[in-house]
Amino acid sequence: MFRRLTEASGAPVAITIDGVRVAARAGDSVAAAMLAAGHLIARSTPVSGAPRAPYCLMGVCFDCLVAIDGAPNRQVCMIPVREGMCVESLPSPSRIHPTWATLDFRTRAGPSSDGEGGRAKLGRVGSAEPESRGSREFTPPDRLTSFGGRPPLRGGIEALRERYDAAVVGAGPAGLAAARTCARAGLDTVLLDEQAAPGGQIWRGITASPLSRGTVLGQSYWHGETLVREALASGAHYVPGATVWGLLRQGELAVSLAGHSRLIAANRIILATGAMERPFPLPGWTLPGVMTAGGAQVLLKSSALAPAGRTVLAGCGPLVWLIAWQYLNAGVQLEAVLDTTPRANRAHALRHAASFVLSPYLIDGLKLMLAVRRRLRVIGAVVELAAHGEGRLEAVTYRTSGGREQRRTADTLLLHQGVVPNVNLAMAAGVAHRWDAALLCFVPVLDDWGATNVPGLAVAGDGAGIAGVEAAAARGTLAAIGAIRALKPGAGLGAEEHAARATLARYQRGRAFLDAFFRPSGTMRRPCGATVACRCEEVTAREIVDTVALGCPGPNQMKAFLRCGMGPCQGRLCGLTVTELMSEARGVLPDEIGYYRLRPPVKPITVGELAGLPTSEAAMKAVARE
Amino acid sequence: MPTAQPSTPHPDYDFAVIGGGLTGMAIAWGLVRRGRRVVVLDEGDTAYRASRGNFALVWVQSKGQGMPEYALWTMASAQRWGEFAAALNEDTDLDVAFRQPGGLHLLLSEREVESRANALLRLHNQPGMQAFEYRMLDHDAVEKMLPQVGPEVAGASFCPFDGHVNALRTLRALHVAFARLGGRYRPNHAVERIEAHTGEFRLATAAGEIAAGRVVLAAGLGNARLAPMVGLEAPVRPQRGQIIVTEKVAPFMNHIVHTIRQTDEGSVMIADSVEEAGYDAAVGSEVLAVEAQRAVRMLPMLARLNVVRCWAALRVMPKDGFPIYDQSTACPGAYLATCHSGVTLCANHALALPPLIDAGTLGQELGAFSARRFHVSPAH
Repeated sequence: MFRRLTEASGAPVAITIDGVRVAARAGDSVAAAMLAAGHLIARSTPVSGAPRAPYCLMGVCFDCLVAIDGAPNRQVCMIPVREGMCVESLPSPSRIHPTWATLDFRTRAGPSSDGEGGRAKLGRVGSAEPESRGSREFTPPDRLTSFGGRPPLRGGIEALRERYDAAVVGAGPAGLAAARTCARAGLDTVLLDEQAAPGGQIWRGITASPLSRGTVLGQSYWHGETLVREALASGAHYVPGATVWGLLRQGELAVSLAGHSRLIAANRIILATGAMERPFPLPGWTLPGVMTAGGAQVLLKSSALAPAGRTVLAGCGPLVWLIAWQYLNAGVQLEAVLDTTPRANRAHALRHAASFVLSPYLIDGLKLMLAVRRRLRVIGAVVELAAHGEGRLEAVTYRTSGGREQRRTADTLLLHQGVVPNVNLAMAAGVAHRWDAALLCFVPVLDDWGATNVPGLAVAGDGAGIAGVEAAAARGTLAAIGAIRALKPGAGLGAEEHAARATLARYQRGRAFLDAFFRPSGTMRRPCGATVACRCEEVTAREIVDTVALGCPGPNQMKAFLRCGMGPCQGRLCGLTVTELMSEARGVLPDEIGYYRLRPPVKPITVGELAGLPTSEAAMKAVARE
Repeated sequence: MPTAQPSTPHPDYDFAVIGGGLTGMAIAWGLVRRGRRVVVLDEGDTAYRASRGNFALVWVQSKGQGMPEYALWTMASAQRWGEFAAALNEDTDLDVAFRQPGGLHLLLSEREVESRANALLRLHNQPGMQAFEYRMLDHDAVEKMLPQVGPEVAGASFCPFDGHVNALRTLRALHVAFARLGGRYRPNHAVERIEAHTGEFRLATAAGEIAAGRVVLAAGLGNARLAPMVGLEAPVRPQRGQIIVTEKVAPFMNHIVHTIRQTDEGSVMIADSVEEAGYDAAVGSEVLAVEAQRAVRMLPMLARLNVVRCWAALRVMPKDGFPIYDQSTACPGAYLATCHSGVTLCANHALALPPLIDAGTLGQELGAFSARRFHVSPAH
């Protein structure tokens, strides 16, 4: 279903998947290796037993959970392959619950499990070795060190210092720019990133992409190399594979790395956790074979993987055109592009046309769209869309405005309808958010420096509101300058500030046009009937709307009633759908409906990891009472 | 009868229940089942809501030290929970997953075992206490019941009456059942003021005035503010508890542990912290770490499960820890119910309390739980 476009990939790495030896490549995520080996299904859900496959490929959806080296429920899109790794998909024998508790801990114990009956002596509490996430030391991909500068952290989480001047979370454009600027100004800076290599999603795989320069991804992708180089050479302490799962007390970050957690402190924290793809809750979107277009692009960038069978690309937004163009460059044939952009958008966007004429995106964007239209079957004004299949995708049906329903056989359906800020970490930290009516999502409330209502905490990049890669880097720089000036009164950086503000202004020009032009249609954002809205708990749109009739005023009471948003993705893939559905049902604005109340950990960590965190006398008294 | 007669002004509702959590909804459902016209006035989506943050135990074994009536009241509720769950199921088709497998209070040292045994003896030796079955178990006996226990578990106390339930689904079922019987639920109607007039109470809310013949205060922590408006008092304070929830796993726990339970959906919940933190419902890593440590010492297999969620919620803690049920003499027709065991006592609140409220005989039946107890001088 996915094939490698080039054999000139990383060094061969042998892993086993469900007992079968598979040749992966260094730089592959386990998900990429599985898909390249034709292994689509990762698990079945604990609710209905339905099969699931990797969907988002960027750590958002939690559908790609498998067991790795005996530890259940690892997110394979986030874990790089390692020689000898043992991967087992998680079929659910009972349709109610996967049997992992008993299976894993007692009968199929992994290499360093608790022993025969689970009664072997534990060492220090919480020191149970979660071999799941590999050794304590995180091994970055081969080619990264050739990028110059200080080598990434060695020695695992213990090598982190207790305190830094500045901590930057996320190594995409904004985070790289922020870390570079802070470190160059002499701040002791740590750059924590969940991915195995720098670049974020936009420059995913840039330090190790098997694709040769300029041919497939386009020149603008490779522009990222400069910033990656600068950030790595800036003296910032770059830590890949580090998940920040919470901001606890002021200035305190909870970090998980290779299965161990620690709390570290920073005087200034800059969140650059970027964007994720907007949920696309259409009938059948949970079927294996349906994947986000951004996820497919991640596979392309980092592992040179492209869909091999009949592939349909559907949705709305610049990325639809970009990935179609990149596939054309790579000689990958798409069956069709189903454009769900509402026709009416054109008229609304025209009001902002004057500013868009000055946008740097105009020429490139037009060229891209024309190139794709010339060479691909693009079906416009698609107003209904659904995925069908038994156990996996078999066909896509769609209807255009005024037309009859059409059906296409398909092996892969790639979906996209724009990107939205990834708000979980910021919201859990108490950052105030507001509904952005143009972007159709919640965005943090920020000042000109990206500073939030939480003291010492700033947000930069697309996590602050979608504005694109150049604007993201500029916002990263500005947030960094804000941090530097707070810590070093009298620091200059006037020229840097001026340049960043000019870049920001230049790339924000015309954004209103893009937002209006690519505004996803209401029917694609607000599902109805039996369409699943919450992938984790398998809650349907109708059930959500019915709770409004029962008096649920917002997502939090609704969630208590239906468990919607309570799964491992913590509402990332249903939150906006829920807010919009309840807003429509109640006839009030999304701001009044609000969002899920989020709390750390914003990404799952093990109970053992939590147990390994420092405690206090007061905390002991609060729990072990007599 | 101190009941207000619906005479000249004819209010829309026989009862206004303030608070849409488990306690308020249980009482409201009980009243609407008796044919009363009931409105529930509630806060909005982000209200402090112990009903959405609790540990969902129906717990008997340690309740009532210092007030034997509370032990009896608790046991009565535990014994009626099955009946209550069946009634909800009949009204709504929702299974609230009430199970009574018996509960283990696991102990991690000989000192903890001894202290626990003494505490239970003291509880049972109180005058007026009605003895119930419980056993102290050693490690091997515990392991027979719960094979996953770790080597550090020195023993446990076990009580067969302890159970648990899906508390969120119970809250939903009460809402569904209440609505089906014609009850009116009004969210975003935080009550600002209550005025007692002849034959009715007028409640000023965030969304306008509501009039009702009688009023029941079941507003949790909000009762502290509301009670004096109708000549009652409710000395309650917030007490924070923090909870850890794991991913879903296959059923493996045959019994519940006072700090660890597996829900009917498969998640494992870990909890049991008590903090005086005012209205701060934030989670804190130190307390979560201690909870996780103790849980791993009790069941080492838990170490490798993924935590998918943590939260903190505020218990509604009366001054002496015991429930408060009262009716007003100054404003006849005003009642109050407040407690920190809204899950355990839910069956009582749904089945036993509404008839007493409806008859206006709360004082006779549940006099021991009146807030007047806070004013009895030790000399008497």
